[in-house]
Amino acid sequence: MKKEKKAGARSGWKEFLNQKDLQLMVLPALICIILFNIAPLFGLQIAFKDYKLNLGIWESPWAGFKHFEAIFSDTNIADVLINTLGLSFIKGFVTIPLPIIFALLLNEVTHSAFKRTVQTISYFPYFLSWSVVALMATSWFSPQSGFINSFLTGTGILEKPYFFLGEAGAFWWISVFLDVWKNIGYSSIIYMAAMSGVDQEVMEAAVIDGAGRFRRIWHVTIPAILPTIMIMLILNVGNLLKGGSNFDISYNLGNVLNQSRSEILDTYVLKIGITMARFSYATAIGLLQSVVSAILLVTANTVSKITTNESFF
Amino acid sequence: MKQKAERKLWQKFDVFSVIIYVLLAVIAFSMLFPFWNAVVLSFNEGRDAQMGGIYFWPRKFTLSNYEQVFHTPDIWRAFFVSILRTVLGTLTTLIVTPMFAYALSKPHLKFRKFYMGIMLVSMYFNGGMIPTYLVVKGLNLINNFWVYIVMWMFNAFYATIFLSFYRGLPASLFESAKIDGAGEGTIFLKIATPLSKPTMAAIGLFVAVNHWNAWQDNLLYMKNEAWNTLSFLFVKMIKAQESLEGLAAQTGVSELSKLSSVSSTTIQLATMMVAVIPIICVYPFVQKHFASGMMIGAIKG
Repeated sequence: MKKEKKAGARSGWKEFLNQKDLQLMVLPALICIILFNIAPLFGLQIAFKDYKLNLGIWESPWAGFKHFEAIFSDTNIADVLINTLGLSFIKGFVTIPLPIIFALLLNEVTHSAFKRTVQTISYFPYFLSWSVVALMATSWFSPQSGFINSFLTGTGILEKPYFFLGEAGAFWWISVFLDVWKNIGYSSIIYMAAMSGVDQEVMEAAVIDGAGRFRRIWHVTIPAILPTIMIMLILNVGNLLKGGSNFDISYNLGNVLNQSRSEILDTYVLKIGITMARFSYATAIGLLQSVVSAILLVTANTVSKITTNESFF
Repeated sequence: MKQKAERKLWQKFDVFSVIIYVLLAVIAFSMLFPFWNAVVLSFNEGRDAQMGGIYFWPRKFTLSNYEQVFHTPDIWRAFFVSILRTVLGTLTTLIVTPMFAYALSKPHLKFRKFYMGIMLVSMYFNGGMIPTYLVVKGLNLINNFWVYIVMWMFNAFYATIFLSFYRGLPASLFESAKIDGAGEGTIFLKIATPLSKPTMAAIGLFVAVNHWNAWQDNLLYMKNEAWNTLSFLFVKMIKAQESLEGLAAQTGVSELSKLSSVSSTTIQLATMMVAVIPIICVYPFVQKHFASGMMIGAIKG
């Protein structure tokens, strides 16, 4: 019995050596994954430790749930959470329906040159860097040179120029506007792809049965893209605390004047962790954020599975 | 493709069609105009731009903003750092990621399930900002140019695209080469890679655009100003201006913000164009690839 096992192990080793060229091809990627994905996962333990630079991740002394308790007595956390959730909810209500509506409109266009032009224009901002978009935003919203203030004062809506980026109350709307401007076109592609899968014969049958434009969209096109919509909704719930582009916008356009409404969890972790070097506390916030996000994602997925039979995993 | 699409039975042109066309034209305009306005300002005289009211065309046309940009050594340097990271980064990603995927496409690969599992873990879990920063620090990659490259070399999403491509290749292609005595490395280089050229081109373009646009790794891991990338220069410009405007608002001296940002907005936008023009140049190719729906497969997972 023992002998057999040994022989098995040896032939396994032999097999491994026989395909050493294949194994060598795996190696660089494997090292990358271990260093930049797996090692940081082990690094999460510093959330339960008092991280000391000179001691490192493994040698620093354990601290229990001290840092998690500190989160609940942190006076900044309430504002940060309100901003994170507020931005995510508003964006959920705007950035999910708008690309769907945009895709539905495009889908009704028969003039192919017009359609292609609109698509080309609307996809373009997605390929610009967020730092470029943020820089342009400082120009658009500028009280001096910005076209928004020029227009508002020129038409008499505003009496004098308004410093949008210095106003906490305006920040959420600026963030939503920039997100929509940059991503609406690109986000609509996934729905366009789902719509192109609609069976043309079903469409014809609906028309012969006397369905007008709206009934056709409601009864044929929307059901066809419903699975995609559900998946996007689930992902969005999972991202409530993370929000893809929120860091890009809040970091670049957040400043001392609007920080009560621009500071979000991700920028707060950066400030606490990197700038103030409170590594353990910042990691605890990040870990709690990830755990809650995972719970939200699984919950949304389960609810969707039960109610609509659509699920992400 | 050139001929006009045949109008389907249900696609009659009615009043709603007009509304749809108008709506889409308005959307397209509001997407294009803000960008166009930034381009226009970059060609306008700086002091004049501060008075506002410029929409579609420069009021006082000048090339001096661009001249300024071309005479700033920091911008040149950042431009070349960006080019260097984009070229090296794209090349290394296009070596490491498909190589991994090719090996995983072989069902007889030992530990294949383990590699697959570890790849999926890397797709859905990460340690977050601080633990990753500490690991990068531990690896001596802080203030090191290679931090721009090594963290991007493997991408699990692109790996799954390559994986499904290699799996779709007929096994007979490889068998004949094997009988001729070719090793897996040779087969990968001489047979699989040439066949995957379109996939390589598409993914390469996406990786290149992402490298060109990246600024967060610069913010987190690179404190050495000499290695700043072009995208990060804009972050610095915004921050510099914000602190001045904040100061102006706090002290109530509105002249201060006017004074400091005189001509700087237009020069900033001219610098921005240096980063945007390469994107405009590759955009037609990128659009061709993602419109075909290939990248969407990756999102769907």
